[in-house]
Amino acid sequence: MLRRQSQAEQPERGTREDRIMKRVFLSPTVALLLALSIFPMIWSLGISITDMQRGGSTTQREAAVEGRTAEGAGFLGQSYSITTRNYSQLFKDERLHIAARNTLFYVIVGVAVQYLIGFALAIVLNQEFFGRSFFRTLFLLPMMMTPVAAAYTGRMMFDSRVSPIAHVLRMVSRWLERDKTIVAPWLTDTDWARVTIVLIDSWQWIPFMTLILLAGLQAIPDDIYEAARVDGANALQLFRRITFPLMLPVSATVILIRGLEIFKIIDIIVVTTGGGPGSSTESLTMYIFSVALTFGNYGYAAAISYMLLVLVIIFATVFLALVRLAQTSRVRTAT
Amino acid sequence: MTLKKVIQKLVIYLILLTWSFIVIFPFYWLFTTSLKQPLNVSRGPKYVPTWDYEPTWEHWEYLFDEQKDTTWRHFRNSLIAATGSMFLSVFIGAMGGYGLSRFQYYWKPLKWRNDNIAFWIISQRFLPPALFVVPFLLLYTKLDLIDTHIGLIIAYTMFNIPFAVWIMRDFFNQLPTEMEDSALVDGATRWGAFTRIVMPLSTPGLVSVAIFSFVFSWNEFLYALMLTNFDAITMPILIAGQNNTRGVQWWFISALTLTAVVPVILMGLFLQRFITRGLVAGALKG
Amino acid sequence: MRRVVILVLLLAMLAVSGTVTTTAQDKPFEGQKVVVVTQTGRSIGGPVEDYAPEWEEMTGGEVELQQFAFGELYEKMITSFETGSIDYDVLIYPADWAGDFMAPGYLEPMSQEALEAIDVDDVIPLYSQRITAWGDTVYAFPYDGDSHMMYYRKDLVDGGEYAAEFEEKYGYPLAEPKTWQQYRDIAEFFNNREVETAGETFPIYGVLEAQRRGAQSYWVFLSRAASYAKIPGNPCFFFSCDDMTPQVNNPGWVRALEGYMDIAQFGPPEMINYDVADTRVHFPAGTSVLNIDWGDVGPISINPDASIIKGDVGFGVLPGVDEYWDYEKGEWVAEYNQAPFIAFGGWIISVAAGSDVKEAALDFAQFMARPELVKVLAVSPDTGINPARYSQLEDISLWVEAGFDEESAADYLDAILNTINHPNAVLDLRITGSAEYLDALDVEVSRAVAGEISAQEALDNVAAQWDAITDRLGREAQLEQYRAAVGWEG
Repeated sequence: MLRRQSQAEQPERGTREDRIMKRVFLSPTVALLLALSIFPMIWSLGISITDMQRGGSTTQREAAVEGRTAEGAGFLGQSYSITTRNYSQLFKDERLHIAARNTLFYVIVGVAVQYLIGFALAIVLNQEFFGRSFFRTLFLLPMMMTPVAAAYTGRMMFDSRVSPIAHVLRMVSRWLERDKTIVAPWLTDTDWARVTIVLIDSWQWIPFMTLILLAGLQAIPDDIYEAARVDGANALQLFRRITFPLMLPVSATVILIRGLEIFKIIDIIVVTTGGGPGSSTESLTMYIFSVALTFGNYGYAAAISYMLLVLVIIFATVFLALVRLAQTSRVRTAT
Repeated sequence: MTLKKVIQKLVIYLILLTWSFIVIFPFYWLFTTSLKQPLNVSRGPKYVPTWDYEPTWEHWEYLFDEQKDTTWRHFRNSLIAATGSMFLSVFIGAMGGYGLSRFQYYWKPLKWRNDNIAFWIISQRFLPPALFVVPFLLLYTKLDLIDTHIGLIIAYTMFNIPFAVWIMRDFFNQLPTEMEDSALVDGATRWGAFTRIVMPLSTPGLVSVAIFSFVFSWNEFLYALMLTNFDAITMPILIAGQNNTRGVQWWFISALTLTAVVPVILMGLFLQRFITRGLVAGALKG
Repeated sequence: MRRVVILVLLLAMLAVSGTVTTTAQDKPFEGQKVVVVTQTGRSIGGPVEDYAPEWEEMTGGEVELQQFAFGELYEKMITSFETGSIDYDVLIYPADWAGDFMAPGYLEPMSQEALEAIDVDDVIPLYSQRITAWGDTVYAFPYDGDSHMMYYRKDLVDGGEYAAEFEEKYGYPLAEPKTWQQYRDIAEFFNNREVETAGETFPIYGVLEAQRRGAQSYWVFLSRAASYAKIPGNPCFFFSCDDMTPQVNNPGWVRALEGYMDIAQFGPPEMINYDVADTRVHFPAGTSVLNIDWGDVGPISINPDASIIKGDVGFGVLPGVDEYWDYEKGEWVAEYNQAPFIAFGGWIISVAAGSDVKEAALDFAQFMARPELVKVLAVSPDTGINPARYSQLEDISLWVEAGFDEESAADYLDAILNTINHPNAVLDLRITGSAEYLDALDVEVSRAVAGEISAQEALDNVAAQWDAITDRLGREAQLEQYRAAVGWEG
């Protein structure tokens, strides 16, 4: 699947100019990432083992009550102590555990919904029909909207009283002559709300899946299909034996990208439910931002972020292992 | 055409039309909502202007006449941040991608070669942003970058770079090296070969990087909220801000959303034919 | 310390001379840009938009307005202070953030002269001495007065049409509810009933109460909790003043939460996702019989663009209870208890201590807080400015001119005055970390309302979290602050 002609085949160019230039080419990228990604990460790790918080660290505030000033002025001009309280809090904090569970729900259900619909649409768009390029462009529209706006739009669509969907449901129940109007508690029932958020996120990001999967489909040469058709394979067999296996690498990539992006979900939730009803929709990222910016509990926020990072790494590793497993088993069944 | 073919076509169009409806209806709803009086929103769905309610342009007038300074300030800042980060991302991304594609790197301490470096770069894109909240704020304060265009541009470039490098590296890997080699033999410098020969040949890749950098920066909410206060504040913040003590101002949100989406759509339409190829180059690499 | 005092005095003098010289010197703030930050929308920022040009004309200064959604406002303000990037000169913000803004010295103290310039004696003492101050120092100008009150459809409740049926069912006459039990009965009685509203007959809901998480709804819950659990004569409501023990899970609070959960069945299904901002759109649109909100609904209800129930709204102090919990004695006391909740405390105006155009900023703050202006603003349905001054509350003609009928105006002003002058009124929680304490409450209350856990479990969780927060912030330090905030004299 990978073509890496140039870098593997090219001999090391030894000219002095190239030895300098190769550093020149890569250094802006590396410098930027070191300064704005790695450095803050390490800083964050440091903060996570201190008792620093808004309004003065615990050390400082206790000292102030006793009428002395704590030694030294570190971060934010606060003196602080090293503590493990932030990490032990991770195990006790029920709200955090619920948020982690919600986040995993978004990732798993979200990716599944988006992949299935995205793939189906990609297959449809890969057919020959009139107006194909028009529809391809049209289907990209949701991706263009800023997520905050998409979330507000979602709230308009899923309101249980004044939205067109609610109106249609009312008309349906009148038509069915039901005594009670059918009301779908889109954003007001704990289980529904999580699903509704996934739906809004999917509306926006299915186009991304479709776009890339479609390009993958187009890259499969027609003659493979021709050969199989000559062998008398039907459409379903074609899909199972050719399309799906050949699409596996692309599929793995989009699923991974979307999965990792959904881990960061926050805007949609803030706008639609604010984390409620109850604790049913709060995501980890959202919780971290409240802990950091609203509560000003910097140490704990940093500790949770590291927990999230661990979750993300586990997700990516497990997923990639699964993909590798699937690939090898394909190869084995093929031979 | 056989019956089977006809049915197949019908099914295709049925799916297409259903999905088109799902895609378009929210946009239509935004448009009609932007023409509604508050009572027309809170008292049940009204569908067609003039047919079941009296449309009004006053919300648009409010945003683009009375409030035009505020609206324009946000719009302009978004434009600056998105365009600035787009150019930087394309340029730095192309350089990084070119480096990783044409040279061999070896970083001793970790025994990293090109692939490891590339993986490290792309992995930065997936770090949870929450990891950076506090340090970022402090760093930006120390550097006096809070509420500046350049600060926002740098932050967005940081987020865009991993994808940009990744896509460009794959693009260059598939680009034959003959032309630059012969130029080098003819005495061109590496830099000269890169800017004069390689870059012009890479338009599709560059364009797709440009588009996704622009769209990401244009729509980004969280960092804009965190890093800007007044002078550099962007459109998504303005949209989110329409939820106030008088309820969500659906009509303003609708009008602003439509306004915000127009530049992206224009750009997308204009450059769309390039986007697929470029993005896929990255995706297929896996 | 001395130097600071002198500096402050000097600045105050400068500020005063600034206002005085307005007449002498033409444009004292020529070329100075004052950035004002507040919440989005016409309610609070609108007046700044409208009146800034006048000030600019007068002084030569320039005003720029930055607005954020309510959910983001606190974070923006506090981080701007904390990181020392002072981008805002004038802040218009909710009074209950005082603990986080005033205590660390982020705001400029207001001198006596500055306060006299806005005729501070006209302001109700609750606002001028408690809500705008931290300790003995005043840091802000009152702009808006805020307390929760009750709204009801008087055409339905006070009118005779349903009286007989109601009395038959509940055994007492239908009237403005005085207890939460009566409030509930009325909600139950009217819920889903077809009634006539503005000439149309359609089914109506019993209540509208904000219940959305991450919004302003926990104040609505607190309004209920106050009368169940506030002990007359003891100012310590959230915590005990002996050792900062959270009172939030005592039987009074639990009963209040059960009531708040129970009332949801008499509102629209969407109510669990409604903020105050939503209920105050729907109540004037004729959606329910009862509503709890700040004073804003009064002026909104007479605005023909938003309301179809002009003149049909009755105003009342928050209901009380027939039996309240006394945590000192550890028992229910069978006495009528009413404890209006001064939720939020209103929007107040401060000048950032780090502003580099302090003089101009102070002048503009005075300009916005002057009695002549807020008087006009309070009666305008377009703003969220509610009365906080005697001149606003005692002048009925002002309200009648704005579109109230005389009876409604008197009723409305009575309800406000009786709330803020009530001897048993409860002030909002204003100590360091109040945002975090209240967020913990918000989340757990929301979980109970959503049916995830019981009222007792929810409030036990809150108490545990409050204790943890208190310990983290230092129990002694917090206790000291809380005692000062409620004016406890043990």
